[in-house]
Amino acid sequence: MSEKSIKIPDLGGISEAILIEWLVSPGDRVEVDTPLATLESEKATMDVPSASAGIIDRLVIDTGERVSEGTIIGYLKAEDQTSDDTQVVSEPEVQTVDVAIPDLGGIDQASVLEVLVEPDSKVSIDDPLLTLESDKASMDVPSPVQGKIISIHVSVGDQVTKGTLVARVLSESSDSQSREQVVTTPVATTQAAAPTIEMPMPSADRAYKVSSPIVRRLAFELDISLDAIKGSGRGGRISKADLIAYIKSKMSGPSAKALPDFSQFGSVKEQPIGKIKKFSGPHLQNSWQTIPHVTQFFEADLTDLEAYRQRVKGDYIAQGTRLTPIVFFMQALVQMLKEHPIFASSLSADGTSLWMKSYYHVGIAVDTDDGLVVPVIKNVDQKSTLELSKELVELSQLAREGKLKPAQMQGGTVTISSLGGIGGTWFTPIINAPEVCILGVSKAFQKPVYIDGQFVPRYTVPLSLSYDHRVIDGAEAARFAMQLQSVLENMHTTIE
Amino acid sequence: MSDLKTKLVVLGSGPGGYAAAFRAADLGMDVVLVERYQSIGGVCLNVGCIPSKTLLHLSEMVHEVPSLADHGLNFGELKLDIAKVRDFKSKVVNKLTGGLKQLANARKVKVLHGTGEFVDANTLKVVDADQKETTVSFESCVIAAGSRPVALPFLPDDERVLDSTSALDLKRTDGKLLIIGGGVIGCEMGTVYNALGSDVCIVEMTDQIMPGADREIAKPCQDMMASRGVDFRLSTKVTGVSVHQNGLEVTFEGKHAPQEPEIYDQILVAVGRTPNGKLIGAENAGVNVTDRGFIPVDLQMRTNVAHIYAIGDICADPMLAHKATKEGRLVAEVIAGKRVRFDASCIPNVAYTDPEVAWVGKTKAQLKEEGVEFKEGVFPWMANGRSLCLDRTEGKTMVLSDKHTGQVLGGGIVGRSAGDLIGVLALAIEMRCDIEDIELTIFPHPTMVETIGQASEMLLGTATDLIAPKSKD
Repeated sequence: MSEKSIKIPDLGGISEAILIEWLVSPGDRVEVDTPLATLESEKATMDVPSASAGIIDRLVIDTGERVSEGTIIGYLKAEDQTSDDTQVVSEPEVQTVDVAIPDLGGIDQASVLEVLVEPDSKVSIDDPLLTLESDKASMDVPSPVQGKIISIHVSVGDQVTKGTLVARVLSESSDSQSREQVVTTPVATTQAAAPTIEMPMPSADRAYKVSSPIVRRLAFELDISLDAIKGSGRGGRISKADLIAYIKSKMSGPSAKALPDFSQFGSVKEQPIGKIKKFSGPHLQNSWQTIPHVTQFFEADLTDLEAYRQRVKGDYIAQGTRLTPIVFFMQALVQMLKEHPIFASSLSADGTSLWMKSYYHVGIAVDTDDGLVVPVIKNVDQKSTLELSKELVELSQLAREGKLKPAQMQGGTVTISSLGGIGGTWFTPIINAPEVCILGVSKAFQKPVYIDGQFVPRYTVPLSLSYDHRVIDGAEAARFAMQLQSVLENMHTTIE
Repeated sequence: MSDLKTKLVVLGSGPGGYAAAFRAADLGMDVVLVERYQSIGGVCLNVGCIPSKTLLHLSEMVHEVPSLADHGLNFGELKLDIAKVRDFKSKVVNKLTGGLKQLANARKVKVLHGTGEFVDANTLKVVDADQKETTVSFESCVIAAGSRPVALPFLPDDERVLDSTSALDLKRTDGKLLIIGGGVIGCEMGTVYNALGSDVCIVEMTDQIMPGADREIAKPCQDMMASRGVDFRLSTKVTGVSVHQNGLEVTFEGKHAPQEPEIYDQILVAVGRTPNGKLIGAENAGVNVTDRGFIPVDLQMRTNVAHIYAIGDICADPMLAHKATKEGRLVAEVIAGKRVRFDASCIPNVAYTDPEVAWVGKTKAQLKEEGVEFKEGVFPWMANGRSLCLDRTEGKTMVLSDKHTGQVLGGGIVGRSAGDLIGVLALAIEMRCDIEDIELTIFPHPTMVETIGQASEMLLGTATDLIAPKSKD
């Protein structure tokens, strides 16, 4: 018998689906076309038929996981050979090797923090393919073979477990390895059958390379991942003082306070916080705690600008994009930054100087299913309304798909947070440090305005400008707000 | 037959075993320490490190003292009194083992003499020299039963065939001695027998002595030994030995093999050590033992049986006392419930030859094999003031750092007291020093430890005591 992988076939135009039910179990005998599992996508539910006859060996995807064409969901022992040899048969010399997530050393699940290779990348044995992060540690998944990456089956943010298919590699090694052997383990080769504590290899922490023996020992004793600690020494070296400071911050932080037992009040269930929130939370907390925020509320009359937008939006659709009001806010805001450079600055760490920026990159807070992300549109002042529209649509799409690269989220001069698509009036956005201001845009509404002796409906947007009061005075901010209002209200005359 | 019950039993009282037992006692456990020989301390104290280093010190003097005649100090001819030499060696050993005994008593560690064997996963049977049996039932056990010299099966059973243990007895120090194996032990014993009057030949299968060390660090030692009359046959092996009336007839094969068989008065086998994992009835306790006799453990020294641990030579290479000691203290803390694990990054190696050879961390050969890009800085002791004062300039200090990060990855030193100096590099590696950290450190002058700073200057291209090679980037 030979072992064969069970792969998701072409899903007929659907890129991704969720495996909602397994219809077989290991040990089951299946024929060609026996339904193995049920998938569900946004559009349809479908069964995965077996491509071969044989006995199901093992299932590597749990129900609820996302799959796409080519994802290996399990293995079966095919009955296509007369030999009764139950050994795993090695594949030919140059072969395709499926690299799966190895045993994570006691960790059940991890998320993909970074994908370090691309299709066509050459890899050697032990080259890192991905960086995973769990709540305990981050670790690299090494390549078990030398060769060329054919395809990658995970992306940043995916949850993976032991056995999840990571990549397919065209192996160049002559001593081909059976599939059983390519599941490498990042854990030290220990044979202990009954270790009482989980012991990922010390090097699972990248920061392990920059810490002294006592720091390493204390961190292990207290079950702290050194990667969580920023080293104050040269080259990021982590001193004992850094570790102690980290522990103190944990002890004093709100997270250290014990919660009441909610179950005494009613039904309750613990649910892990999303990975994006886990990352953005500390950043937001830091901004909130370290920057003295003031928020200036104001309004702009967008009646004329919106009329303009309605007039031209067909042209944009014809060019394959969409013109949204956000583009106008970006342009108006950048024009204001040029006139008021202090709003495009950052305060030095010691608070004694300002870094004045002559580049105008605007971050746009995008609401995604996984949480808030902020793609940054570069050099807004050098791009046309059409170019900005296209870029905004592209980046928002990437953001929603969780495919933004770190470089696409860095370098902002200022940020716009728009709740315009939802509703509500003014709010108090948190500054995206080290920026010094943020513009909050709410949903525009028809406001009765008294003009020339009568009330007329004007399409009005509530705006909220939060600023760092260490850098910007209240009067400056008010002037900035009023001018921004004026720019927006006259924009329809200048934009053409 | 008598029975004992204890929290912890430690099988073997070598540097690992006694460290485990003593630390465990200090942590409040009641401990039984089992030792098959009459004195505790294991191979290291009784038939290893300590007696050999005593003899090596004397051997160094044999060459050192006459060399002073050139500089105006003539002490006359050497008069060798081998009985006194043996006596000195025994005194040093007894002093240390006696000290250990006192330390054991002071800690109320019960020392049980006899050979231990597992009966089951919670019982050890100890049989002493009079065949008296003691059964020890334990909650936890640390296996620290060490290793023994590898014997070559084709050698005759003859009292003239020595191993590293019997060679320390110095039964005969003249005549022709063949040492099989040019590793650390072979070179050390070659140094001793050469100094005490033997005609020494060392035969080594690979193409360098001390194969674990980088060639440039091992070679100056080989050259010095050769200048004192030791004959080296590298890339050569012994294929047969037969007993003759006038000695042991040896046939060779390889690059430097003589045409005809040669006659030797004694042969010392120094081809390595083998773990004692198969000699303790481990299977009765369900403890896994590899084919080679190692007992595999995790980073907390735990075997596949959760309450049985193994440390030192018996669990993994390198078979070095200082590794065992560290593991011994660690395992006691693990058993006491502390959350600790073995995470040392490097274990220094030292050959106490004259000159000494020492290396730590990664060797150049290892870095090349692992594909790590590195830089090296080498400082010849010829340009070091202190070495010139001592009239010993054959030394060399080498440091290796990561080409991209500058982190110190390894180093090697050959020269007088290299074994002491290497500790500095071990500390540098554990502290995750960059090469600049060493260069920025002020070392005392004039010393030999200074050469570590000077080697880092050579690496960085900032040396002033020599013309440093131009830094390429």
